[in-house]
Amino acid sequence: MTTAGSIGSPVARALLALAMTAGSVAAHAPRAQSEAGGLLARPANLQVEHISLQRALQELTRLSGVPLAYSPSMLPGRRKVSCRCARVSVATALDSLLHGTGFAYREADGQVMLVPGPPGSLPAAGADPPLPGTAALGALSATLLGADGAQPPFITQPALVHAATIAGSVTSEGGGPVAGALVTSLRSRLSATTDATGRFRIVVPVGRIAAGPDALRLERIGYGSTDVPFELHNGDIRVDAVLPLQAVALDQVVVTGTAGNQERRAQAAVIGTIDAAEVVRQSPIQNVTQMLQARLPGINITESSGTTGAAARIHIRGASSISLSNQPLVFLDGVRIDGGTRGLVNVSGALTVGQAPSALNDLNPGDIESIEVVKGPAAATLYGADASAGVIQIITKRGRMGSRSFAQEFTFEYDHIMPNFEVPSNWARCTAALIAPTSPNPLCRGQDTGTLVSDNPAGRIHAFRNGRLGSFRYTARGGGESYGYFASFGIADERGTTLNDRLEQRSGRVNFTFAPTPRLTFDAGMGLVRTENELPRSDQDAYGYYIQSILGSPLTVRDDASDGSIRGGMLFASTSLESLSSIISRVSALRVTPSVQVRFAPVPWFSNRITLGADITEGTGFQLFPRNDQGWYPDRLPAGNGDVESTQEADRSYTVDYLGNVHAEWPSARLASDLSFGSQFIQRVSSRLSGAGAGLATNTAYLVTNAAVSTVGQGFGESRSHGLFVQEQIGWRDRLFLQFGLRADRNSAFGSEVGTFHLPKFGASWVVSEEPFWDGLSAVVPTVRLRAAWGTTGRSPSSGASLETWSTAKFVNENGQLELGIVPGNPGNADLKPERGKELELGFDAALLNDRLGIEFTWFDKTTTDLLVSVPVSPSSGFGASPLGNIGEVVNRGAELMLHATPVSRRNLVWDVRLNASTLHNEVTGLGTAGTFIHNFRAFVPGRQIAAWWVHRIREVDEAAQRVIVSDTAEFSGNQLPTFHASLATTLTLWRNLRVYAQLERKSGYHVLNLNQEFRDRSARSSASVNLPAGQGGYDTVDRLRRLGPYISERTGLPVGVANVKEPYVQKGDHFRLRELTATLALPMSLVRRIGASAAALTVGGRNLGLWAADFEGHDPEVLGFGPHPTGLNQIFNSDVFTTPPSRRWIVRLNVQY
Amino acid sequence: MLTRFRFRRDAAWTAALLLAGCNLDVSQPGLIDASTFDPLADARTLSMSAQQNFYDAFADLINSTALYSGETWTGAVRQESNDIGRRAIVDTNIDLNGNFWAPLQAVIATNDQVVDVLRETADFNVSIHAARSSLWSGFAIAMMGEIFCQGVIDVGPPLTPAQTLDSAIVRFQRALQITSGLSSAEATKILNAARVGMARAQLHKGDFPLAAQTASAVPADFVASAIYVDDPQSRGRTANGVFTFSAGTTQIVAADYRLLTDPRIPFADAGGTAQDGRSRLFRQRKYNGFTDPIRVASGLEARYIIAEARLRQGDTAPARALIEERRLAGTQPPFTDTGEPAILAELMNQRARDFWLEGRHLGDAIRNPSATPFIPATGVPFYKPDQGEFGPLTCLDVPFVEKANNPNFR
Repeated sequence: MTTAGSIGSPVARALLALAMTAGSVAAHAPRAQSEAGGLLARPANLQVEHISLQRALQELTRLSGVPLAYSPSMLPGRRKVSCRCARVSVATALDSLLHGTGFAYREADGQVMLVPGPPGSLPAAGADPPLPGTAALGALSATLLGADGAQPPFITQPALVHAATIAGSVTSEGGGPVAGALVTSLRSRLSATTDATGRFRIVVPVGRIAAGPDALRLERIGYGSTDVPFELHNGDIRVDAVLPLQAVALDQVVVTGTAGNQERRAQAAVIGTIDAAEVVRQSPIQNVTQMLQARLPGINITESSGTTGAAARIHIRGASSISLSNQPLVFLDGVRIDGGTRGLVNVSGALTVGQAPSALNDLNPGDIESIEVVKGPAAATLYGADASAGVIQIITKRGRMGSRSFAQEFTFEYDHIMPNFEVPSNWARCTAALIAPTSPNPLCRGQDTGTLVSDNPAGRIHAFRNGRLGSFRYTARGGGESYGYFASFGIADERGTTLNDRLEQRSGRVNFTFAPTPRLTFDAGMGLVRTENELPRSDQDAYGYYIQSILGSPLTVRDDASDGSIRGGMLFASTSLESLSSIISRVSALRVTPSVQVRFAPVPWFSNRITLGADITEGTGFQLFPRNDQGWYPDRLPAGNGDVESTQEADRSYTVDYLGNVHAEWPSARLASDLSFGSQFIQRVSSRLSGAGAGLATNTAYLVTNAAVSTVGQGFGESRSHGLFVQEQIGWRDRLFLQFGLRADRNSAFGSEVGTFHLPKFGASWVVSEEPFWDGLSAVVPTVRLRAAWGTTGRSPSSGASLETWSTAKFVNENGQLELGIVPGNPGNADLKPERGKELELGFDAALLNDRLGIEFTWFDKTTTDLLVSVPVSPSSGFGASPLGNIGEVVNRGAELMLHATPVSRRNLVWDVRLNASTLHNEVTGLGTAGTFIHNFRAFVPGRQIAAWWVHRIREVDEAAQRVIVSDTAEFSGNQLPTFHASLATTLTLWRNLRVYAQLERKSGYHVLNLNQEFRDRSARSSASVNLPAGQGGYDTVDRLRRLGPYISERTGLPVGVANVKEPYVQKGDHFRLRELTATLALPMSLVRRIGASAAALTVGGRNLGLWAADFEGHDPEVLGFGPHPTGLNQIFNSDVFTTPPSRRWIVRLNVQY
Repeated sequence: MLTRFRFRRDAAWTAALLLAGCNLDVSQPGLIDASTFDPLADARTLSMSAQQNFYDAFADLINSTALYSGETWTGAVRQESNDIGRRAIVDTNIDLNGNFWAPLQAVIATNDQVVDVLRETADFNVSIHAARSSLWSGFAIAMMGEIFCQGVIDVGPPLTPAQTLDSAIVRFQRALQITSGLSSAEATKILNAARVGMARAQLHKGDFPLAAQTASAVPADFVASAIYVDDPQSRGRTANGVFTFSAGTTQIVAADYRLLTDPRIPFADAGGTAQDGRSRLFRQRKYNGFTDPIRVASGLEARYIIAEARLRQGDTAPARALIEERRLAGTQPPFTDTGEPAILAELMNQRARDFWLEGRHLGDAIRNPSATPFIPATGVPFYKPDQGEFGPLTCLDVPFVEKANNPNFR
């Protein structure tokens, strides 16, 4: 697997591979030294016109097969060249291309090196930007120092290097350090990565390398790839290099959703890339979800709760489906994996799977090189009829094949986790029964009837407390002549903000790359993770810390226990810290993700890639409500006897993927063609066995079989999908690309007899700035690319969804014994077919201000037709489930903007800013025969956003009559999905070794149902707002009427249920959040060397440090009381229902590199 | 040559992989495909399952109507429960469908389906399964006719209460017809239960002579009950749902009933507050376990039907006799009033006590609004005064989900 950010392009990779045997060359050699019959005499086969010199050289390498070594940053960047060199030698072609540039070339040791010529050979001023001499390069300085610090003589005869250390620093043009840059010695194939201060160090093994000219290749996302020549010799060698900013990396390779030419310049649809290594280095993140959060426009992640390890909801470009999942597909190195939730115990109440652990977060962020995100059908067609919600491809780190190096890294982190909220107090007025001197209630005893008292049981029992995280990560990376390896080990122990909130994770990964021949490469990888997640009860579950605390009453507080302790005040009289923390809800998983990828090119024009992989998880769920004699769990019957549930689940997913590519060129017509074809087969199997028992003899014998009554349950599900695709990509002059593709898919959800689902795609990409007519503008706007793409994907329901089914249901027979019976299940739909998502995407990429400002703008219009809707059936049909039907249409339309600017780039101050912004217009445009339907105060109505809030609206507050007139029927009351989402990330690098990073996030245009407040105001009547006078924090008369009623229908005059008038509690969720803040200090080298390390950095910072949500009355508008449901109507339900809000954390992290 | 060989090998491997991926037939052992199930051969399973649907729905309906008609109070913090308790519900109240309407509809649909399957068979007229399912479908429809303003059967058009009750009567008649030719114990039970059900529907419909006549055939000691077992994994379906619900902290015996000190209304002070933190929790003790049966039809009810029907025809004797007997059972002094309205009120009073938590009170109140006791009056402050006042007692509206998805409502 080729990873973005590791090695720039196929040409660069070829250069790297072929530059291994580079020999000696004199720096100021004659302009051309051709050896008869050598590389320079080979046919050039080159036919280019008005393209950049660098592109022309790349083409020459590709077409002639002759490796060229040079420093791109030294080439005149804006120089455009033409060369009709189809029938001339490489030497002649180089003469033509390099004419006037001041560059010379020389063949040596199997490659041709381009080096600056003598001073006199430099181009005249004004012809092109002057090329500086070696000693005074504006963008590059290479200083060669001998062992004694003196300038070494030029080495003209090969000699073995006895001991050499190449060290230096990599800075941006302004002088700021560039961290995370890959530095590779082209001759020795040794490599290193720069630390936080931009420093690197490569130790050349003794006696392995011949002395002579070499070059360091520098690569980093966001910068142009650069080669820096230097002389390899004994002793210390210092090479300081400057990486030029590159706001738009058109030559970056993207592997997700692409075939044929995988350079970004050839891709018609935008594919987002997250530099995972950089995010891990500077951000306070603990998992993959946080790595994705607010990094790319169009990706909306809602954290859902503060429960440790709980999954988040991920929406890309809105919500396309009503009944099927809106979560994107997740691939790991080309292999489909489970990125959803692991709902093996239900801690969220009967209606939800709420705070379930995340399968996506099993992955160790430290193992990830980059993440690519395919946002919609325009780019996701190659992923078939199930990819309409987007695709996330996680690319793990690989070894440094050919580097003959070994590097290792240790990361220690400690997090201080804070609840980030205060549970409000409960209020009530003392009753006559509680004021007597003998009253058990210490709050009312001796008071007057009606005295207002308050209690805060959560604070009294210390329900929410500070948690912590301790983690350690180790990674090793290296390689030999024809192999590379990466290995990691991670350990993390986290304690959340309640007693039984815990996550323990142990993970390991080994990736191995082996290339026995240049035509054949094997990549094998294996990830292994063991997680154990203990979850507190949350959301609507009656035994959650939050619900028990905020729905309690001061009137139930008692101090009549023998020890005089204060008890009660909670939702249940028997609740205590001990009773809540004694409940065990645990999910464990052992997961292995093996993969093998073989890349084989039997001939240069035909390449093949086969990927085989699996995602295998053995999960267990365990839940215990212990036996007790305190009446702790009053609704678990028989009360106090204890009950236990145990679940074992095996999830297996297999991927077989083939991609072939035939490349052809017609130099005379300047055309290139890539015909790609492939097949993808994915099988997913899930089996579950569960047991439940009630009535335990003791709490130490908690097997299901130890229970007085025990029962068993089993589940099984399987799905298969198979797709074939073909794509033709035509490139003209390497700057205009056209794509046509077609994928044919079949899915087990519809059975073998159902026809194939066809998914076409079209696209075009045009690098306008490389056209001759752009020359006049290139000084102002050096890079511009226009792109347009149209594509189709879909979303398939689960297998069996089309069938009319029965469900099992027990009955009591004539003898009073249980038998298994059946009842109607799903009416089914024989005509069922996948949802079809079509998307048109238009956009441009541009670099401005001398590559200091990069812009990526995209407008998208995604339409989901044949929308699968679980059409609520008339209850009188008798069916228990709602059948799926292909009904209706949803549109998601919007604009995405990504700006990357470096306003200041000086030696001691670099300021980097990234802005992501996206808008979303989501609208149900039709529901066919289903018509409008309402489900739990959310409606699916043409003309409105999907699942828009739909409640009875307040027409008039009649203060005189003390009543509120409300609409006769429910009406629109707000959106669920934010219509605007933006994030601003900025990094300040000071004095080259201190980096301060902050990320702000904004979401607006949506509403959240604040059921916490509603319950406290209306039902429990325990809120301060209801109990305190208007001037002291209580509602005024009008607001009190608005919230509490009584409500009268405007048409009938009859009472309307308070629960139906939710308007006061459907509250704006608009907010700003200071999501991340860190400061990273690169430790002084003197200290680093003392521990034998090559670099070390200390990071301190915090996450979720500030929240400004003026119109939301709860703790946090991003909680999901119904959890991030994978499917169904409740997946779009922004509600705060007694959910623990996301926590705040402070982190300290130490990273040491060897 | 070597390249050609490799190319062929590569192509062969690719082709094998492609072929391997073509099989899309997957096993779904968790699904019961309707096409693989023979409802005729498994008519007993279908019918018994549908019977359990009634047992389950019956308990749900008892709990829900008890709250709406004042037999119990709510100690829950859910606002929907408060709204039902104070009779302020609209058609989008989710409990209206979930706790009242949908359970009844599941009973009707599944039992009618059994009858439809068996109808074409030669032994339909002697099929105990057809009789059983006719009985429970009849009861569910009769209950719908008693408490809903409109009835719906199998996604059909809205029916008036009288039409709905007629539909129930048809099913009871079928049950009677079939079981009259059978002699098993279950057949006899169905026979008498169908008589009670039919008489109940006739009474509610106002066909007093017919109601009295039908009920008079029921033996005085006859009892047909919904039976339950304790299975932790299916308590929601197979256990006594009234006991299950009352064992929590959200159902409180209403003060009107507690004050009666009638042994027919057993309750206990739970010694604490309900879920809402302020209402003292009094639990019912009529049902004391998951396996306690709930009476569906009985000779006693038949006598009540006869008494009420005759009373409405001007004959007070049966009512007075029954009142005398039931007051004795309730340790009450003899009843002396002789006026017909007072007798009807007392008859309904005794009926409210005898059938407390048996799902009759709401229907009684709708049938005899002025004579049925223990119904908080409209405009009276709710027992949680800050929630407002009681709304008017009316029949229940058809839930929105039925109106929205039943083409006959558009």
